[in-house]
Amino acid sequence: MYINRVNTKILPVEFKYFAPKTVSEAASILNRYGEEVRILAGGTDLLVKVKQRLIEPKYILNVKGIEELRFIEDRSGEIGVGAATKLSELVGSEIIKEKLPVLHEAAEAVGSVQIRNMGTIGGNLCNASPASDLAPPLLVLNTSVKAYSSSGERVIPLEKFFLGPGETVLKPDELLVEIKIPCPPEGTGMSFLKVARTSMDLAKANVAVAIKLDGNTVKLCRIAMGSVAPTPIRLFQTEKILLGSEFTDGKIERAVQTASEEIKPITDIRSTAEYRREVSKVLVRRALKKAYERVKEGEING
Amino acid sequence: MGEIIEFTVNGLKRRIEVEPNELLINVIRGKLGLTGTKYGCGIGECGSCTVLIDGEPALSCLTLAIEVDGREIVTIEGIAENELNHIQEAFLDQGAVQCGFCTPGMIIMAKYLLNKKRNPTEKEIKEHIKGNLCRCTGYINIIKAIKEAAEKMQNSNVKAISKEL
Amino acid sequence: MEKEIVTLKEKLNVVGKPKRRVDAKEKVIGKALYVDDLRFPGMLYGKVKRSIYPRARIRVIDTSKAKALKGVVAVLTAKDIPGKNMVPIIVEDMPLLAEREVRYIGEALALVAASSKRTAEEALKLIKVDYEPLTPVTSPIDALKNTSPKIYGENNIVISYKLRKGDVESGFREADVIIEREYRTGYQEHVYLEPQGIIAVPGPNGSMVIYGSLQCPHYVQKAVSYVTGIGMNKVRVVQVETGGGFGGKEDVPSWVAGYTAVLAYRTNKPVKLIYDREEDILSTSKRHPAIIKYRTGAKKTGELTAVEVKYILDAGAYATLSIPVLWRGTVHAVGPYKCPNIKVDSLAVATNKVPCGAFRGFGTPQVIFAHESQMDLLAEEIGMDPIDLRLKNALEEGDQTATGQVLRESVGLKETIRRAAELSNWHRKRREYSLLKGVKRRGIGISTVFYGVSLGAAGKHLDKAASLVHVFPDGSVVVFQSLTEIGQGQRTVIAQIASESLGVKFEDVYVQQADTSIVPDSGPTVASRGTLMPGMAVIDACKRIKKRLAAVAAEMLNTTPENLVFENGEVYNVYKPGKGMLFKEVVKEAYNRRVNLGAEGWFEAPFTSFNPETGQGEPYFVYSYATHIAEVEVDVETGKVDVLKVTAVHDSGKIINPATASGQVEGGILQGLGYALMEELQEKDGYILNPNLTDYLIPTSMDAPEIEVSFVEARYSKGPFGAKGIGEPSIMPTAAAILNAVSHAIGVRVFSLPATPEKIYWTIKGSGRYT
Repeated sequence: MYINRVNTKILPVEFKYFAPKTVSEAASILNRYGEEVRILAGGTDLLVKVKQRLIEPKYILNVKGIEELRFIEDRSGEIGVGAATKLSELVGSEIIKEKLPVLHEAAEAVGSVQIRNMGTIGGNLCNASPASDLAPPLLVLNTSVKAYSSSGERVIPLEKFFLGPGETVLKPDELLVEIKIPCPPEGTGMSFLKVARTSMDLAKANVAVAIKLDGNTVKLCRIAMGSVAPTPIRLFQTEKILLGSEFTDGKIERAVQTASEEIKPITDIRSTAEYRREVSKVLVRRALKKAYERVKEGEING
Repeated sequence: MGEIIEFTVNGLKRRIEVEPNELLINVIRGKLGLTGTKYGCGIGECGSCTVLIDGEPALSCLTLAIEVDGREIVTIEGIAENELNHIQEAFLDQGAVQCGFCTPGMIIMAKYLLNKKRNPTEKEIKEHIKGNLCRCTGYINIIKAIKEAAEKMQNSNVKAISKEL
Repeated sequence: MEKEIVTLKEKLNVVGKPKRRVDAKEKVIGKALYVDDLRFPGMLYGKVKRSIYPRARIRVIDTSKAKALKGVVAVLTAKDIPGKNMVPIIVEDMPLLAEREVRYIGEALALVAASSKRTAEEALKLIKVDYEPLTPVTSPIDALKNTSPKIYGENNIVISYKLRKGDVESGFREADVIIEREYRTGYQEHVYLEPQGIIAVPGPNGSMVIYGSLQCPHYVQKAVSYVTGIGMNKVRVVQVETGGGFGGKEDVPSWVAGYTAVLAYRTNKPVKLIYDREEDILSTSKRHPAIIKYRTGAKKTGELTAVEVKYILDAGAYATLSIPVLWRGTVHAVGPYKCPNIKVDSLAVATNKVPCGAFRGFGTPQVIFAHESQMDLLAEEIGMDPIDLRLKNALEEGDQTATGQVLRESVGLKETIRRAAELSNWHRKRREYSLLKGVKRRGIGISTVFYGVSLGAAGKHLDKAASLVHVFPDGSVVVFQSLTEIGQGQRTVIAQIASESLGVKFEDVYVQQADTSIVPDSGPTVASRGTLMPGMAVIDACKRIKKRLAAVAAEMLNTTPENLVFENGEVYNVYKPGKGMLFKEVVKEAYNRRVNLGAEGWFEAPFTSFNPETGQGEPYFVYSYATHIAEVEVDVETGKVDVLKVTAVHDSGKIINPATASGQVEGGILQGLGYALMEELQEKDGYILNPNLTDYLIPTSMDAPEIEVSFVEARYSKGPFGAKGIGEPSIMPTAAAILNAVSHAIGVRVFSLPATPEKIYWTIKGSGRYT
């Protein structure tokens, strides 16, 4: 209960603080303290929760000082992003703007300048908010993430990464180190849209779309949404409607209908489930059309 | 279990003992007495506590003090040197100040924006300060003030350059 | 004699000019001191333990564990209050600390003082309260049922008013058209950027000094005296820089100071109590939610024939300011229109929720939303342009208001409507927007209001103001007055008035912040009275000093006082301009002649009256007027509204400072926009579900529309240089104008506030217009 809960300039929890300089140091701390550690990779969410005593960590591991986790690399065919890369760095990156414009748009839609300057891509994903603005575009980009622990590393498709609100498949000793984003095939059109109460607000619903056409036939179609299920999700059923068929208004409407059936929105303080369902239709329709326009623009410009 | 951290605040080196669970705003306001930085919501929604850390804006209510070890901080008290800078003058000119509680955060944000961008558009200014709430002014005069400051800074740059020539 | 001096000098040098604010420099360099910026030696930190039930009996409050915590100096409950356990507001119904029963979630139960804020926070957790929960009443409609538990008096009604004029039944019989609708409005939270805060410092001889973020120092003085038992002569209240108020720091600081003073009294140490944001949102006053049933009758040609209103406010658990809020709402319920037959019944009903209180507009934005929606519905029904309908019914000089008051002067209403229409290109846009098709529809809407300046008949015993002006031998001037600067620019405007009145340079006047030990009780800083009332008191003091100086100057300049002009730091003979003296030379001579260079000024509000049986009388001595025209774009597929532009034309009499006045209007418009579209405090069974700025949304810079402000200056003969008031009229018309614009855009009407995208979406969907 929030009554008599305090909002303070000193966190109401005492913890031990680690600020390692390398991934392997971080991994050994995780290895030692496991579930009792909370990773500080921005603080805009974690520290609010600690303030409110929603979580009471014994150890805080700050990964923001690990230089090897801060990079954006163009590896011909794939963009690698270090997990501690700030959202403001994503927004400012020429590589992202040019190769993954949809991610640029989504990163720009997160919070405020200050929030983007503190928050990181890894923090955003590990926070596993259903309303994450980064997750839908990363999902349609077929992103995978790399986790590191003292016993080795593994690559996890982002699709399999989220388990529920605040929950991911990462084990207590694992650290998210890298986000691996395949560049979409030439000629792919992509879009990101969000409905929120104000421009500072979390999404009531958001959507990302990637499509590629051959003539007017849909050759690639990926759609992902946020805030409409316990985790950000791909809409596979909806994608199937469009894949391999002509991109027509009739098909779009069928896809929109399927999307509204495929999602599982809930009612919360920001929106009712019914409205989320309705507005999701609008978002999917608009995002598909916008992505299509971009395909066409690409054809003209290319 | 306090730890000693060293950092620069408004150009002065500081050495201070902090607790791991202490937030930066507690150090700035409480231990250093720099009360220009304000605490409005405590959860990063209002922007009143914004300071520059290594030149970048950050919310001091959501930053652990211990994190700023070795870094450089600028608060509102560090913006004016001997006289008011262009931004502060423009805030006075344009009537961008009412109750004044959001003003330090707004000026810090304006300073950062104008460091990055010489001639921001109105839309860019609005985007830039959207994390700083103001309940008095309706933002109109704050936006005008930031524009005016940008123009003044450009003019004074032109003057400085033409002097050199 | 002074009168002639004034008439000789018609040109204004300082009044009417956009002078820079006197308090802004300190604020832009971060040196302005707000209450949380102050520290005193040995200061303790206070916290308040609050109820977690909307209604419960208190069995036991066990403070033993909290008291045992290291660093805790005092844990106090009701029995430790040295004076009366009562917050004196209008009626005495609210204890400082609940003793036997709690009546809302967040009600104060116990107080802690500790050596650090963190320790005080920890101590709160250790206070154990044993409750016996009772069935709460959380809706005013339920509270009015016979079967409802009685939580306030015999019938849960805090106060009711009625207003009767003519005969509504015959008025409705004469009507060609009758519009009858119900409107609902929600809470609005002030979100002043600085939360509530007070420091109490015990002094010698049992005295106490209070420093605080507050609007009404004299209210706080009385409350502190009440709860501590210290005589008012030993309680000094000093207002420090205040980070916004909007009504939220009208009555609430009385109990924040009450808690702090009791802790300071019992510990004999300075105590600081600063609210957390969540605590502030859940436990302090807000704009009242309302239900308004409205019936309007009119001729086909547009003339109103009858208006009947039932206005219900959800007061919350205690009366606080619901009594004057409802009174103002009742008097303003018909709007600025002529109508011969009127019946208004209003009620403020108690519920087990946080008490509602003052918020800019004070009971009027709710009824304005109703009467301005009604006007547009009526216009549509009879096929008349909304502007023409308003002009047809708008009050003019010589007309009678709903209370039968004949308006004798300063009625700029029609000009505000005409000018707003012209500046906004109303007729063209109204036509063009109607033709738009597609997903993004545009609309333009109007709202027009009147506002009784100052406290009116209901608060006439408080409606006075004092000032103290000293001129020093160097020619500089200090002004003391007792209304507060809370961001609106009050100190700047008072400095302009003093400077103009004495004929000294603006820069030579310094206006001190309010301090109850210096200036007599001048009533509260509310009701848009911060310019008019103290302004007149300052003019009064300046006149007294000027008269004495004029006698000296006349001798020095070898003329008579009637011929003297005091202007801009100089004194000269009007027939020999350019051959005068400096003001400070005159002052120096007067000083040497032992002339008294200080004076007290006083002003009592002009006549007001109100008959409680009929609601007839002259409730306010003068009215301000305003018209807002809003333009919006609505996404009809999502219900999202963008406000594109607001044109605001205000008649607030002479504008003393156009820059600060525009600032008031712009800020008011954004608050009104929030009220219209996004600010929604969600409450369930007495719990506030979103007591934070993550989920209670106020407008950001991205929501700021283009704003065009214009002033119609219909001067008021009894105001300073003709000024009336502007603080509240700034917000009053906005929400209704936006809702009328939304309705123009989408062709259907939303009958409750806020009109969130979701609400608009379902309204559109339900209308079947876009399927």
